[in-house]
Amino acid sequence: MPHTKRIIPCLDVKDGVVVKGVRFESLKKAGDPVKLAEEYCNDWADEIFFLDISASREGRKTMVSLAKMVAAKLDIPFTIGGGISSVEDARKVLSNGADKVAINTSAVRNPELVGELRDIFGQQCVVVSIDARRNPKTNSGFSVCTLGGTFDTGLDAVDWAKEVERKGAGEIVLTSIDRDGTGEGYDKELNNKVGSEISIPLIASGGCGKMGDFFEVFKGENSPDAALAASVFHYGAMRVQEVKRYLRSNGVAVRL
Amino acid sequence: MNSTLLIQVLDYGSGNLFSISNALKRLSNLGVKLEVNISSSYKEGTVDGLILPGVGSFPSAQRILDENRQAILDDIRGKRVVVLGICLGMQLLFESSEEGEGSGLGVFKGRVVRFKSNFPKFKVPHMGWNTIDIVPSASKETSKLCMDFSGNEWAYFVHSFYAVAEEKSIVKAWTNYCGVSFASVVEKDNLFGTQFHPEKSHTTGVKVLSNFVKALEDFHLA
Repeated sequence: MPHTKRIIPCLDVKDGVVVKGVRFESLKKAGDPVKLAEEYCNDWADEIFFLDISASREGRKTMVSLAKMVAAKLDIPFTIGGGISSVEDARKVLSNGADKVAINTSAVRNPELVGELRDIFGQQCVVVSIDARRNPKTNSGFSVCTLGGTFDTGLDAVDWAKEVERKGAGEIVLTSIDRDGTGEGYDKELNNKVGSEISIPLIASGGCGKMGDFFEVFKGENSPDAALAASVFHYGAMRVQEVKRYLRSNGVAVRL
Repeated sequence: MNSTLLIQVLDYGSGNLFSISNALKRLSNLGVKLEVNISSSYKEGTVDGLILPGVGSFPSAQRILDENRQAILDDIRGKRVVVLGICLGMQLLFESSEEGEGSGLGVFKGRVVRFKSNFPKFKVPHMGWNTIDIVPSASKETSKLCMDFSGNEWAYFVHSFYAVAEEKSIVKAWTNYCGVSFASVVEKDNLFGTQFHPEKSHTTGVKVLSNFVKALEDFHLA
């Protein structure tokens, strides 16, 4: 069968603790990353995404020890992102058990890194995260931000997505900074604009607040292949399995 | 009777082997103790089980395969070892691959080919979760790896190539990706292969790996 839509809990990790910010500010504590990941895994999460949110901002290095701890426990694929800025950083995380690495700020600074990672580790390992916000000065109406959403590069988000695909990205995680942490739903316009221009898998992120938001974002031909969410799962508002049952009963193919 | 089983994961020198060795270490409720080592050198008659892991490419595994080919083949033919090939490792049980130069172990007849399809938005690699359809004849008696499957098994795949077996009876389960049906579980005597990654396939993977250990046990300790 063709691919099912994936549900990916995202764990934003700072100093080894899972936190979730509203518009990347005012971070609230939510728990132990390894334990949370195991819970999601047993609750039918398709993959887990770990993002070290302090890494870019403070120049801290990647979560090698987290990769190792998670790999010892988790038997579904997981991605690690945050502060990976070189082939060596990626190698450390991948050789300690992560299945994929995500790069964001470092891809904007050095776009050739995408191709280097693809050539060495394979396209399936390379995820490019794009933080986008509404910006009427760009053609698509969305621009790319870096450094944890704090710096607007002025780059057009759709153009950038096409470029990283050309350079060898295996997947794109597209986060709406305007929606992140608000619970107002995914930015459908942003996801459709990017989704219609790329052919690698697209993962929608930012803004999920209720079950209907997953269904909404998966509607339509150019809709994303996966949806990432954090707070709705961490604070127990809904379970992954519940979301998948709901999606299936509404005609969306999921693994369950 | 020896109650510890030794399993070697063959290291082709190109990737993360933690996942598979971790997955074996996580298995509990087994009747035996497992000892897992990762090494790029295979010595005849020293281990009970050999895992050919799913990392790297057909050409990139050649050097290590060539160095150990004779010892591995001798132990397979002498029924001294039980082999599980995962993803690329399963493909290496066959003769050759469209992925590049070199030859597999050739213990299964057939060639490894690249995915092709006219399906709209067909994406290669086939990456993600998919179902496993056990062939009707592969009942409990005939498929050891698929023992106790419920019929709703999901497994995690990452591959651009798949093996086409000449001998259809070795295929115990099929998976369909965008209209292309390929062998996702193969087995015959002391040879086993999965195109998916059991170490990343949650409960299905735990079942498959436990079944492999049971097969090892039957083979060596019975």
